[in-house]
Amino acid sequence: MSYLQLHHLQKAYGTVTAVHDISLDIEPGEFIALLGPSGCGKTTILRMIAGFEKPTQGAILLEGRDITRLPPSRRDMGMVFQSYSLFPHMTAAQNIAFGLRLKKLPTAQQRSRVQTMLELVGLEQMGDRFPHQLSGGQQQRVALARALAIAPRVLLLDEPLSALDARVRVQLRNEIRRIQQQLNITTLFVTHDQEEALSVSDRVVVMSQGHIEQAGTPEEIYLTPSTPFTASFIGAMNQIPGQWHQGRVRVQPKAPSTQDDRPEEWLQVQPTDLPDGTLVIVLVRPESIQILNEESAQPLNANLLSGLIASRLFLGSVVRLSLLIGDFYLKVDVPTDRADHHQLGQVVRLAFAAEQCRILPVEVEPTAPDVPSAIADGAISDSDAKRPTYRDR
Amino acid sequence: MTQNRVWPWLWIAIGGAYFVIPLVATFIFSLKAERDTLGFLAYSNVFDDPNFLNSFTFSMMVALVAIALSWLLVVPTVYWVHYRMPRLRFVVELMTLMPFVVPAVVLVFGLIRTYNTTLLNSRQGGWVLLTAAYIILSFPYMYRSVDTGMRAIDVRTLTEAAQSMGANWQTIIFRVIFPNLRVSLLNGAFLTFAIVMGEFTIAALLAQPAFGPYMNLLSSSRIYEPSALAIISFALTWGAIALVQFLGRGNAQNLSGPR
Repeated sequence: MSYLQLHHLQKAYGTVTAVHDISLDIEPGEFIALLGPSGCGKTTILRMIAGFEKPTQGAILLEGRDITRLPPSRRDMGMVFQSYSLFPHMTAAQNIAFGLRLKKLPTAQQRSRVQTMLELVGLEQMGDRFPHQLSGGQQQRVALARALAIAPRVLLLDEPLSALDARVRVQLRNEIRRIQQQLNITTLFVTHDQEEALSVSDRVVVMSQGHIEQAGTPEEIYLTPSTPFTASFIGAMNQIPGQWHQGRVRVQPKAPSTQDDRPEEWLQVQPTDLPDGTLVIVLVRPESIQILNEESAQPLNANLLSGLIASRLFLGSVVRLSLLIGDFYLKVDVPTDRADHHQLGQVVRLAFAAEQCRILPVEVEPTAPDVPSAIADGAISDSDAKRPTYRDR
Repeated sequence: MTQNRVWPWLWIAIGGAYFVIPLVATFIFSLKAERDTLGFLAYSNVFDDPNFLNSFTFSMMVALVAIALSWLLVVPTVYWVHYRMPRLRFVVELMTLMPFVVPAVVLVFGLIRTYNTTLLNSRQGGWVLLTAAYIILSFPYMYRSVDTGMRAIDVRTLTEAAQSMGANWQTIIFRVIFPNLRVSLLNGAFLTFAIVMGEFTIAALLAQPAFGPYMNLLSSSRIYEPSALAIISFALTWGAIALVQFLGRGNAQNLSGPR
């Protein structure tokens, strides 16, 4: 049995459902990141686990015990908030000791525990300072120490790094991970920052519109996104619409009649058991696409396309080119030291391996069942057709 | 440029004179109790009068009880409105404005009609009723002070942080919320104190030996002593402000943001 179980959890505010039927099993000592855009329901889940929100349906089980209706004060969960939540009238040490005093720990033990916690977060000398005398990063460290002081069964982190500047954020997230591993404490970390989630978690749960899009290790999430949302939310991803046909994908199915036989329109992708005619999107990362020089040898078993450089975006270590290919754009990352060769308006050839391409089927709304084939056959134009929606879960 | 500097100072001087001249005049008048010389005879007479001390002590006790009960009533109410029922803020604000809408004389007659066969049968009952009336009178001031203080702290996050560490409601209110409202509570207390010490209508109609009726009685029967009493009241008011500043030092700094 898992340590912490979310069982068909649902939360509705009037007619608006913030969290839809979420089930998740969390193992002891695991570091889970709930990742998603604002309003996706990740904080609501955390607040339900903490006891600050009551689920509309479903149950929360901790070590097999149902804690769904237990008040927050009896759940033994440490929480760190986005805003600096230290008690302004108490020093850092008094803040850390707050929970210990409520637990009626002997004074000597309280002092020892406070000192241990201050050392753990690297603020040994700051115990007698008030919150207003500490920087944002130091305040969050004290908040972390305060949450950990009571030896909680689960540590809940609600976007604790969002209010900090970039350098402190990286530093503190690494410290959070170090402390989590040192104490082996089960941790849920809510964030909208994919880099944060991927860099510190054992498992990432990607959320959108109150649903879990995908849950997996950071590598699984990045390398094998299972939904278009995950693909677009985690890193940059090209999404090329097309149609699955005899082991290949025909792209640009919207205007097939005159250019049907151009080899560029057929993409080699990883094998799949989809039926012929299925509308799909092909996913390929910008860094997986190679721009070919004139002297470059044509790679074997690669997809070859020609495109016009429509824009350049300097991102530091790479320059992101946007290439116009037919009626869609492809993003391609080129190392900065080689980007001078590629200027706006230039037509270049590019290649990417079939192994780098994943495909996801596209689901069409039931009111227009004949649309895919109609579009594919060129019988109707795209503007006449119902827009396809992604089969996202 | 010079002209620009002259006008503000001129208006400040006019405003200051409007405030200070009556005060100085009252003070000088209060020193003229003895013929052909300035002295503190009027002050001495005031302090020697046992009714002064009795009425002052009585009103001060009523004020302190009213302040304590106002805190206990207003702080949890404002806290709950902020934390759980922000939609009720308008209703509560409206209710706290009632003392401005209902004149004191109407309030006290309402109280007398309602409680004349119960509370008003005893001296203690009158005292209780007076205190209750002052709590109502202090609502607008106490509510606004506490509300302002509550807006300056993140009530929700502090509450939830305390809850996650095992705190119950009582602990949250008295160990987290109250200490962070120190300045607001003192401001509300000062305003309540000032109202109670000077209030006449309710105390007189409830026949209570308060400071307001005493001042009124004095002003109708003596010449110099009322002026001395006015100066004493003024000094007490400024003393109370100084006390608020002294007790509230550091609190505003604690609520400021990170360095």
